[in-house]
Amino acid sequence: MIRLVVCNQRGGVSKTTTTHTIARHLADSGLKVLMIDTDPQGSLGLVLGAKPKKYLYEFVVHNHAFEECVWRASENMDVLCSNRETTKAEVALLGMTAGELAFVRIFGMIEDSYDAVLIDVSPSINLVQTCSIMYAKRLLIPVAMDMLSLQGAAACIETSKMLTELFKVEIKCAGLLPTMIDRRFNLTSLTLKALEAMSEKYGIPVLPPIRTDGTVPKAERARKFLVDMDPHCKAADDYRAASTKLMELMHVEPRYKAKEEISA
Amino acid sequence: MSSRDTKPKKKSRPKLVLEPISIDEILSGPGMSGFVSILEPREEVPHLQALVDDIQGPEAGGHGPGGPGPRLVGRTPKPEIIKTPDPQTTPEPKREPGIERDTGPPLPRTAPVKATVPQRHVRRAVLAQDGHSSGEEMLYQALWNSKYTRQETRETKLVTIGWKAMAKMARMTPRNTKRNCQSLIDKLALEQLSDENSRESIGRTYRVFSYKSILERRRAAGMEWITRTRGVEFVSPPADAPPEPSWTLRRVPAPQRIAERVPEVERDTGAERDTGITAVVRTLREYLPTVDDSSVADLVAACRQKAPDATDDELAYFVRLKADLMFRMGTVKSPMGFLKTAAPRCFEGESFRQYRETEARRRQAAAREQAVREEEERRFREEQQAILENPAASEEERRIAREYLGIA
Repeated sequence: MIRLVVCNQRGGVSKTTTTHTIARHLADSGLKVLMIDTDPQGSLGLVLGAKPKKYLYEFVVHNHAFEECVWRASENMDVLCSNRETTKAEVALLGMTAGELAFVRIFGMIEDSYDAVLIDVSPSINLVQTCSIMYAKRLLIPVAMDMLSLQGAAACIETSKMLTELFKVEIKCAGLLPTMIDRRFNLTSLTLKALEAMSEKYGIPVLPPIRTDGTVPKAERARKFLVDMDPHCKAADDYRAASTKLMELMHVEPRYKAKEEISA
Repeated sequence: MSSRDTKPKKKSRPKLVLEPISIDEILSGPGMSGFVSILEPREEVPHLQALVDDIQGPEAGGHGPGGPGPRLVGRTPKPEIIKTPDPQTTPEPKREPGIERDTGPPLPRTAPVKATVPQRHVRRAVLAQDGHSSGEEMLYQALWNSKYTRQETRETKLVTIGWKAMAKMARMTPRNTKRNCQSLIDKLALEQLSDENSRESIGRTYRVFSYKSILERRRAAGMEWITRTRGVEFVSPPADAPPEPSWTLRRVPAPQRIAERVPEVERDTGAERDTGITAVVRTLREYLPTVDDSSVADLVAACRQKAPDATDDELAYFVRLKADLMFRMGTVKSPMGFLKTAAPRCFEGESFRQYRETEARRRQAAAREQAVREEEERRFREEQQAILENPAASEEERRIAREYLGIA
């Protein structure tokens, strides 16, 4: 079973794009995927054009039925969306002892019907993110080609180490995912070198990089998955390679071959 | 010389050489500390609160916790009486007689009624009985202990009973019985499951909750503060109410607590488990259902630091002692923090030494008593054996001896 938190404590590093594109690839591989958006800005729901009746807040705080809160994105993919009330959920969690284990318990109940759970978190240090990390115990860290996102990635890794020490639970980083690669810029090569150094220091694999692609914002505008918008665009190819590598690292076999491979 | 030579050459913009980004540079940044500050308890900021309180005048528009609208400085709002919607004014859909209601998971939500009470009369309902008037309590007791009730679960009983029988049982008039019964339903002590069946003379069926369940249901519905009028009414918490201990998971507004639907948290179990941890976890689970091993391990380690030879019984005893105290106090925000501070102190000093001496004496006395009992028993057994072997013994004596020795 894949449980992943896609996080970087810096904004604008393609967390949401990474979440739904990888989720889509996993779903195309025959896995049943659940995406959970814990960002109060509700970016995931927005880019997918989701119209759920209820949100994460209702599920977590008011204990509403999971089936009522989840939105079906495709045959193999469900989404639990967020809205601004997620901040209220955080306030509720703050009032609990061992609240950081709440997601372990809540999502532990519903994860059986899924093969993969991907959580998109907000770019900040908050309790919901901690809860998500405690639940998933595996981090995927997208890193854009600038120093601030490198620092965000380092912050995520340090947080996971602290939580590991604090709760005696093994929290690992599944991989560092370089995003928004544009090799024309000198800073890109510098950042990639720093990323490799970080990978060596912490023993975290670097996944195949994702190139900058104009199709990504267009797909978001069209409320479509990247592969639905243009299955052969640069970013889609790169994400496919990254997802495959990720599945290898997590020892997950695809159930059936992706549509593109079948058609080819 | 051509004009081309006279024109100054346009210099290209000098390229800025970027230095490589080093990990140390990133890790030494100011944003790389205090990641888990969210897990620490909230800090009190009285000086800031005082500043904010000064701003929250009528002219400030009142953006405080009370919501929009003017607020008066120095005046705390009076608590409001909480009442569930009156069944007479809010008609329910008709049901088939005898058919069980869908009581559903969500607990009844209370609709606040605007009626203020003097703040000095408001107090927290610690016991379920605190929320009952004498009549309601009498009726509740009658229903709970009635011969008509049948056990449903450990915390609930079912009773099918008509008004007359209920009135007779509770020793009150039918009119008062109806009133008290409705109050108990409103106060979440009872739940009506099905209506009466007049044709077959079958009364209504109620679910009667135990005191523990009542308290949990009331907490979930926010019914914790009471005022005594002619009866007892639940009110909204007063403005200066002390904060509720944050460690009660019972606040989760769901009938099934999160703690109950959780698989065990995955943990590294490489190290051999300390039996002291098991003993303390067993003790603490009575008080804190969601206690986690790592906290308990810290607690046990802190105790063992003071007394490395502390036994499991001693650990469990002192932790229970402090947990009891904590519950009686009711104001502890961080239960494990409290226990980690208070319990290890029991394992040091003269008091602990004397406790051990007393315990040792008690154990010795118990062992002596046991030895005396065993000796007496052995002697009596020998006597009975001698009786059996004695040909001069009577048949009655032999029968008693055989019975005692278990010989057929």
